[in-house]
Amino acid sequence: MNPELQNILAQARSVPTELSTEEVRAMFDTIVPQPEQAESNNHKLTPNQIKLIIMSLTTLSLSLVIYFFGFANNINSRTTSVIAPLQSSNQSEIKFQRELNDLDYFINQNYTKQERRARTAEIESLSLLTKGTNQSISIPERDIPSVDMKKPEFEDTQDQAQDNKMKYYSNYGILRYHEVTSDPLPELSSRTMRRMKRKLYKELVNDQLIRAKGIPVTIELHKDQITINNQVLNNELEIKYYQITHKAGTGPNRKIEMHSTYIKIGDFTSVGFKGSGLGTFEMEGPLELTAPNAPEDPWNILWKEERNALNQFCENLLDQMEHIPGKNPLFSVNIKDSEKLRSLSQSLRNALIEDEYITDPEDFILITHQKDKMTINGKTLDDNQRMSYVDLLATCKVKAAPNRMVRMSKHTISIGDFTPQEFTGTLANYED
Amino acid sequence: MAEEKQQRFWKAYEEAHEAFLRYCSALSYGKMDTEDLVQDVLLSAYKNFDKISPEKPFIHYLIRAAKNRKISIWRKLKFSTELIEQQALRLQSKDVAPDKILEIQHLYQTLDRLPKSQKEAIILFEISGFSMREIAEIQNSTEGAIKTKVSRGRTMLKRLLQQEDNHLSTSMNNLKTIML
Repeated sequence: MNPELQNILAQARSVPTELSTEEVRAMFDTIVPQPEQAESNNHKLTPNQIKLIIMSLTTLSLSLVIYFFGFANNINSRTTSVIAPLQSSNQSEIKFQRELNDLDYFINQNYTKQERRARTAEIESLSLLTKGTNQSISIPERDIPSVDMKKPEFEDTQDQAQDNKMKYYSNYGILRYHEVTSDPLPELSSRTMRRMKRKLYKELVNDQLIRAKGIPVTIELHKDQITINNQVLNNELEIKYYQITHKAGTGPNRKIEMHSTYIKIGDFTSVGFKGSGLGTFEMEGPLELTAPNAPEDPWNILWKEERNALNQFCENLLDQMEHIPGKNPLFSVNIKDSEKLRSLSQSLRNALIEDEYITDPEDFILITHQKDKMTINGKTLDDNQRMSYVDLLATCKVKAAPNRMVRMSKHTISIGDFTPQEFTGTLANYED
Repeated sequence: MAEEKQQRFWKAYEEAHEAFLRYCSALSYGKMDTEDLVQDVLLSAYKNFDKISPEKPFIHYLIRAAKNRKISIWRKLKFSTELIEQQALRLQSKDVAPDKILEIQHLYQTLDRLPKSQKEAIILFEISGFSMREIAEIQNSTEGAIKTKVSRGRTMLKRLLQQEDNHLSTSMNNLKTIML
């Protein structure tokens, strides 16, 4: 070790301590209460208790003042509601506040901006009537639509537009919607998702929330609560899992669905899943590249038809070819840069026209890319030609694999591993 | 009963006093009054004294309590020169030479720039004088890990001290040039 550093450290070790034992002893004697003192201390009120007493006394005196000096200031007024009996001053205060809030809400709902301003001014001058044990609020006469005092039945059929709103009824049965907003949909890279999945499985097993890794897990990420396989977590675990999943955001429909082969992060609504996913999983319904509720875009229809025709063409070709499907590799094709994919698509098409594999740019193309063999629309390439296409595909890190294919039509391209049941890889649609 | 508890507590504390105080001084440097820290830890230790496992040394509990207190309270605190002065005055009253005080304070300040785990290990090993095995027990770690932390901490500390020396000599040269 450096002698200079050793010297400094030795000095720090050798100097007397900042406080001597006697000083600490004296301090200890002052802070540690004697048995008699400790007992007498038990009768002292804590600052919080004192605050509580003062607050209660203030509320009580205020209620008494209101009770004795309250008056009605408008003859043309009408009473709109009768609230519960005065059980305690605190309760009546709370009720009164609630009533004001409800009125405020009600007025906001039924009046225009100018009217609302005028009404707010009137509300500020509300007078309070107290008769016997009942407390009422009087409001100057105005054409207020009557309010149904009955609490309506909760409707089971949920409006689609109000999916993200929480319904509840106020004291008067006024239906209120409290909007529960979601965080924006997460755009996570496959690396982030892979890491999150690994971390989650590790921690879930450690915390004994699941038996083993790979078991299906559903994590619901609400704003105020996190549940794992319908199990509500305690505070400590909740904080821990919010930290692990913070990139996924929160929301009423926000979930993480995990299985040994995939992870899906996003909003799971009645119409389907919207978000990011990694791995192999079944798509719910037809593959839509736009929002599920959006009106059918003509391009969508075109892409769908083109892709169906392309797939049909490829399946026919594969039936005629000698193609031995094998096991999918560990890493699938994942091209994140759309520009790169676009330029690959154009370069491929140009090369294919140049090499006379296709004559029309609109022709369908099927390229199979196996270890020592490459075919284009059923024709096997010689080594020289194959290498040029291998180099071209390598620009997007597309390597050879048993089921690896490139399927192209005029407006679509799919690169990845195709088996009769599934496709794992990258696909893109173009408008020109 | 209470008297007996106090006696037992005090007996246990006296053995741990020196190492504990050195740890607290280094830990609280510029952030909190050492006296306050010692007081807080002693109070909580006395309260939980009956629950503390007699199988493990009392000092382990004190060190952990001080560390936890640091984590919970000081995160947002900024350096205070007043506290540094107070610490210097205390040491001065114990007949420590001013140049030594300066050097020690410089060391504490540099220690504060080390990563947390390395700082902890250096303070416990080099200043409080614990053995590697004891530190491993306090920190629930292995001896090997502590050795690595201490070694890396030393290297980094050396580098930081050298950097500061170089910086100081450059500043002095600049000052000389300006003066000339």
